[in-house]
Amino acid sequence: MNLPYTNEWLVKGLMEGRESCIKFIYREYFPMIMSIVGNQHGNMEDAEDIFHDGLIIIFNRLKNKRFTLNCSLKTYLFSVCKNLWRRRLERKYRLLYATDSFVHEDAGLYHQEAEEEEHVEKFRLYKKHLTEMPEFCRVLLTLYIRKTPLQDIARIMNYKDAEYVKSRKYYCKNLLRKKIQSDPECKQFMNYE
Amino acid sequence: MNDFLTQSHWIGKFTDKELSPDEEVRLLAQASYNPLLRNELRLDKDINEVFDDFELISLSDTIRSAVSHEKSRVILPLYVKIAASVVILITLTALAGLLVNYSKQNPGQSFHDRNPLLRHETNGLFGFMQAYHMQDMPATPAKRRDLALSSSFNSYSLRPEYEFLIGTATRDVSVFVISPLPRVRCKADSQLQFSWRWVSEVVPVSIEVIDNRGRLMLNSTQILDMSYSLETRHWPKGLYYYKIITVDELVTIGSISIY
Repeated sequence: MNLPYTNEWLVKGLMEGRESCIKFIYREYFPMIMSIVGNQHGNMEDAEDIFHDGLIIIFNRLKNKRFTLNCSLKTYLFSVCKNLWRRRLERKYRLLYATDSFVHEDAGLYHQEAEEEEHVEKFRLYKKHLTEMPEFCRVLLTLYIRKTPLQDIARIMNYKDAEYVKSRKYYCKNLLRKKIQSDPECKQFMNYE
Repeated sequence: MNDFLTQSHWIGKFTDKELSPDEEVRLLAQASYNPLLRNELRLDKDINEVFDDFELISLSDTIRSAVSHEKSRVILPLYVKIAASVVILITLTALAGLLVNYSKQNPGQSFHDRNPLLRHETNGLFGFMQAYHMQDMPATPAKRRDLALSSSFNSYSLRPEYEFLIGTATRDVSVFVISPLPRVRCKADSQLQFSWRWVSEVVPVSIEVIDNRGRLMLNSTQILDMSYSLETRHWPKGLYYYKIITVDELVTIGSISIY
């Protein structure tokens, strides 16, 4: 039996990254997201990605001091995930049929939100590649992302000095770049020119 | 610069701003006519920007682990849960009924003592098989109680109906008992001396001795002496109770333990 979590408790748990809260959110709200995605040509994996991205977007917005959540987390997650899936479908069809879909909302807000969602999607894909990297690279890059001093990384990973850590870090980042470049899903984010 | 590893290191160093001015100029010069290198430089910067927020990474990890954990959880359908509850309830009710039935059949005995399977003293390897000889047991509860009592009874077991009377004496009787003491122990081949005095007039005294199973061992009546010697030579070892009685009064009760 699930405990009755309050909205404030869920928001606090999400901000603190509490696993029990996220499990509760998944148990209670994921079927709703699955129905949105499943009704519009999506599968289980798409629904999980949308759930993940939706929570990350809400987390980013809640971190912003100017943002206030005026409804329940369930309602907000529903609307974020619905928009996310709709935009993703639009982009997919644009890519498939090379046509511009009609944009209903205010263009400025639409582009701002689209940019935010694209960033989250990019984050998810890059993160996926980081997770799939060899063990030593994953640990090294994670420590580097956490801004651990190079000397400490050398001590943790049993390397001779900080210079060697740098060399390994460049090697691992190079490997990560190659993996990202070879992923067709990531191509859409690399149209720099 | 053609060395792939050196170039990849230079890309990382460029993003981290660790190239010397000279190296930076050379890299940018090469990037100006090499679109692949330009893409690499931008992607490297992009990766740094995307992974800038560590909180986001740990949240993403938590979401992924929570989702995978919840997916792997086996969720039983409601009807299976209800069926399991009913089966458990029936089993518990049957066990409780069994226990109550045993208690009713053997009011003076605990379930543990009653059940040969639970008893510690078993006769050999297959001692527990006694449990299957229930059909040999007497039919009525009273007989079953006697049998149960006899199985756990030994020659020194106490009889409660006498035990609580030991040491008491009836007041205003015509005999005053001097010996034996209320609880006396004696060897199997010895003699036990009974003695008493009359308070006023001489009245005949009777001595009754019963063993702890209630069998009468001695009944000596109409004694007019002030003493009586009891031979215990041929008596088996065990616990006995004596009663000293005048014509119509029970004077005292005591116990004799022969060892």
